[in-house]
Amino acid sequence: MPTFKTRDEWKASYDAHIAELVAGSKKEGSKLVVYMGRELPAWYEQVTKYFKEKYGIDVEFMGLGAFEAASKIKAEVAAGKVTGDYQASGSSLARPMALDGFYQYYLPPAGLEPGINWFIDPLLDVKDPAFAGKAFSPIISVSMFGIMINTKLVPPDKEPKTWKDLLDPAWKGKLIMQDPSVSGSGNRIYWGMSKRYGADFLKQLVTQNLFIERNEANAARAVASGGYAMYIGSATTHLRQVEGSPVKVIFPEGVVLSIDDVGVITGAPHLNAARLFANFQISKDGQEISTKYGERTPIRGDVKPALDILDTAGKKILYFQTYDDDVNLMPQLREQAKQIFNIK
Amino acid sequence: MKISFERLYVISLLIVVAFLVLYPVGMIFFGSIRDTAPGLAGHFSLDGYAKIFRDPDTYTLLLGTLWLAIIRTVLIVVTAVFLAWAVSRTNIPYRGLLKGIIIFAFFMPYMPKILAWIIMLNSRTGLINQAARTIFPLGDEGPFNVYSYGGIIFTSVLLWTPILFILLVPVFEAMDASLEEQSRMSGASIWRTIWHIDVPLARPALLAATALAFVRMIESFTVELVLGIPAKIYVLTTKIYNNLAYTEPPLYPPAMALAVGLLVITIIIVAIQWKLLGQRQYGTVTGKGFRVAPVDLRKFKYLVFSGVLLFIFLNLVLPLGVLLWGSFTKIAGVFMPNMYTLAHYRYALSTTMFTRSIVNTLVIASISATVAMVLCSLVGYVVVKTNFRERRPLDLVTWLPWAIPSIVLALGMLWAYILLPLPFGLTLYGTTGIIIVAFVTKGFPMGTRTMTSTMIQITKELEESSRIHGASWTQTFTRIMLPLVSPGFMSGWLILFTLAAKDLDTVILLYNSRSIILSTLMYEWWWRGELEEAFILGLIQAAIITVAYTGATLLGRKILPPVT
Repeated sequence: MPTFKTRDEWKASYDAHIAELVAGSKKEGSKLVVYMGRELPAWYEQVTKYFKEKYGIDVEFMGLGAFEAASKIKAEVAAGKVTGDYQASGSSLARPMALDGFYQYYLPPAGLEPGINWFIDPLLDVKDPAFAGKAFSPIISVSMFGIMINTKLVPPDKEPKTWKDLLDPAWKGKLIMQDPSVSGSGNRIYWGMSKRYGADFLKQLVTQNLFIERNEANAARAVASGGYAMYIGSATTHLRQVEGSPVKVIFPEGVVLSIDDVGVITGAPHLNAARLFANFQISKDGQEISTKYGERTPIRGDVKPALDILDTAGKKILYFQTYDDDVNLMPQLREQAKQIFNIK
Repeated sequence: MKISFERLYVISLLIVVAFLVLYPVGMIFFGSIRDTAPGLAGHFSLDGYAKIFRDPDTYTLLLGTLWLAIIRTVLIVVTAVFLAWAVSRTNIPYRGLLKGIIIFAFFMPYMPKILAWIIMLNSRTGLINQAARTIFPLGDEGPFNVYSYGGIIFTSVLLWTPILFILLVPVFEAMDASLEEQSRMSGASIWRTIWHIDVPLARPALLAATALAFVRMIESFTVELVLGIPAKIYVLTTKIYNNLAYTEPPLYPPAMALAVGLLVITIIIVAIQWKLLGQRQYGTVTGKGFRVAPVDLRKFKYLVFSGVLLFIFLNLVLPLGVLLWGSFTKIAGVFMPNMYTLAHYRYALSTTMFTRSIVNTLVIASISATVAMVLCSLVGYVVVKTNFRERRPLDLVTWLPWAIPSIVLALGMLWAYILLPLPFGLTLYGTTGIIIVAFVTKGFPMGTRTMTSTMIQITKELEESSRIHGASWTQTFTRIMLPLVSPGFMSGWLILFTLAAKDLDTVILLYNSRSIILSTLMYEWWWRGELEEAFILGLIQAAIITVAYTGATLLGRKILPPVT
């Protein structure tokens, strides 16, 4: 991995690299196809505008679900008929995709910028021996998961202070959670609670008659409309989807973090534009747009979270998924969740 | 050996249809005997089959699937027969208008309708439940719960009755009223006449419709996914989807083996239908004139009229109203101060994908419906009006796309066309052409059934007369059969146009940003939580389909000859 002694040295190298990518993207038709499912509308607008104005590149997003996007990418790569260039997803999908060769090796120099205090190193995985000689998926942001509560149904004195407070009989039949056996918020919070309190706690939680919903946005709406008192595992981004309703997200005991990864697809027809996009997402501009319009927690120390709730400062990190969690333990976790929650 | 032109034509048709259907279906079978997805390195293995046979869940789910399919099929057929009979054989008021509205109900996309019913019948926050609880002291929940067997059955009946209605109405309309009159004159009651005259006359179409509904209910997926899983109600299709989409890595072999199992069930159903229909002739449209005068229901007139209105209200007015209302609210289904807004419309209209998806939908749905109906007319003629031995396999092949869960068919198509070797560097995958091919393939079951239902009623005497007078086989087909089946063709075209305009699952793995259509954009917006914007797209889909329907109906009246 290249190293830079000074920021100026890095900047000169970085600018030259970006200029090469811009020139290359022009030869490719100044286009980029990105698989990215769940960002806020304002983020899509800003990024599309930024790329068009700065690089003349038309970015087109495809909002497929994780399975649909992965199936498409795998089949296209195997057949050598790749139509998409770049994918952004949770690390539990991205890390195996990278290891299995569906992403190509690319080290975005934006992640090598000296003097940056990274909350999470975007190039974390490349330093992991498991990825030696293989592609990896750079990290671009983190999501924080807690509990969304309906403030009309959960008065301040009744707000859970620990996860175990969810076992209070008062909440029986009033809790909703995203399916923990699938990728998403339910899966993340399930693992966090499992690591903290073990499977017995989760079995007790099931006796609270949890309503299991597959679509995260629906779970947030169910709480916003007063159908349920609490959504276990809500991300901060869900707040925007139910803006104006009496809800807030709390973090009893601390936050469960999820890593958001990206990958340049193997055989991407717009390789230069895809690489440009990877650098953009890690760059200061990209991180600022991400937190301001996408309401994501930035990974760069020089970019402040746009909202207080996105700030990790002062919050205890309960769980942070590792490579081993995503690649080796995930199948077991999902099977265990299916059994405990009686999901077929 | 000399092969006749007709036989050559039939064999060519069989090859084209078989390729379009069997190639992707073959990929599913291939996937069931491999330990990885086709195209990826792997080995041949029967582990997928072994796994599903050993899994006790398979048998529980099979029973649950069959039970749910039988109940729904019965209710759908009964409701469709009632509606078709009411608007075509009785003297209830506004029959023509009611018929048009029920047909329009079918054109409404499914997903927004299901979402609208969730907003109405969610046990806690559903609008109807809240209203009911303000009148009756029922506690915090109910009285209805959309996440239940009842919810699945109710929604399915609403969603699928109109399509059977569309298939059955032409049959009821083509019946000779003089038969009913003779029955009534002989002293039979209205109900006895229906049972002994109308139902036997419609038997072939009824059997075809029942088989179609049953197969569709076994393959049904979206309703079960959205309403069943939260209630822990599982069927085979949701199990397949869970194996694919919600297991990492995806369990392709057992999922594909289950899909092959569904195919076998369909083949059995089709075989039973053939056996029941036998070799009997069911012609009701003859060379002689016939009367279509309605039956006077007398005191039952307004009861039957109310029944039809209730169906329309539940199927169309309520969900459409909720979609429209929801699209103007900040959060659909959530009451709050200053809850109305135009922001969702402003956002939806400002996106480039919005316009592109509308244009693509119109172009793709029109082309695919036209191509599919031409092929289905030819298939229908061979199946119903000839004795070529290839007609049975041809008929069976056209059923298959309906026997497979859409998401599995989508995978089959993805694998099939991405691996399809074409000369001169040509490629189908990644173009709009692949979406058209997918819709043509998916359209075979409905298109062919529409044409066979129409053709089966046209007696051979017309063709025989044509042939006796020296017309060739081609002339007979184009000058006698085509004019007679034109209403069926138009009806089939509209159905396929609509199916294409609202289909999501079939093309979800095939589309790209250039070939995006309304349904895929709606899915994207729904998936990322923009429900109100998805509602707007649902309303636009309905509007496009309404225009197409009205246009086709007016055009049909002008250019198509009546069936006499």
